[in-house]
Amino acid sequence: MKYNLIKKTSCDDPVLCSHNIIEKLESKLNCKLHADKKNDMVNGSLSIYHSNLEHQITIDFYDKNEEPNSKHATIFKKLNDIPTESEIKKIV
Amino acid sequence: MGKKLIGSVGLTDTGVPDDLLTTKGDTHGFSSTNARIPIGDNDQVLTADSSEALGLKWATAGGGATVEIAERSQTGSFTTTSTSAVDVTSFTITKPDITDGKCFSYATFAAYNDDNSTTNTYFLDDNGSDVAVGMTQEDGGSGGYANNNISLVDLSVADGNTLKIQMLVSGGTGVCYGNNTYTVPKLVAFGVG
Repeated sequence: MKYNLIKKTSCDDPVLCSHNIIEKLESKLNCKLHADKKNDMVNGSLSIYHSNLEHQITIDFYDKNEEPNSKHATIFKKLNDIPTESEIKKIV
Repeated sequence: MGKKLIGSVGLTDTGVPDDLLTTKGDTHGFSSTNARIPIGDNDQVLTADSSEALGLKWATAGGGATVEIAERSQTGSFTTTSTSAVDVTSFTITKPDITDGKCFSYATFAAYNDDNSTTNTYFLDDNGSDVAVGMTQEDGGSGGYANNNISLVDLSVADGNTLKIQMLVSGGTGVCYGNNTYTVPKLVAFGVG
């Protein structure tokens, strides 16, 4: 399930901006949206276009379990309860 | 004191009749004798042709090459934690569509990953599925992850397809910087046919 959100904000450090949002999502949803190593298990990903005054945020929760393959080296694991868009908006 | 010679005097007779050229735009030709080359039609050009009596003729100019350029610069930075390929938002353009034409495409940007043990991989994607060219930015090791300038270059058919940049990370957070001091993030397609 992929969610696309628009957040009215600006940032000077895109990495720090991304870290802040990932930490909130991972802690409150008990999920993993980034890999620490090549063959890590992840539940999804976070991508952000840090445009001035407006951020385009894409949160992708994987819909099915997938072993590493030619397209990704990580293990995709579907969350038992994928959050709704409104739940995510409250966190972000 | 002797007379001084001033001006154009002493020229030899060229043998060209004064009334050789009769019409505006006429020009002077020659085979074995002087001859008139009448002015051609509008937009014609004078071109050599050995089969003509005077070796020249007026003819329609051949068409020049068609050149079209599409380009887009990125203003904001893009970050992702995705371990499968995702579109780098804003980096999308349409290639020129030129019959029998070729398209030279390139992307330049500065990129980085906050995790020294990971890699970033980039693709120049053609038409949403055909990866034209890709490269992997290796980890920085003990010296830290460099903020590298990345260039992706491809030569393809000028077919009007969509070009975009995609990236994935093996871990950490990958960044494609906008407004970088040293590299203006840009995607360009230069079509010729």
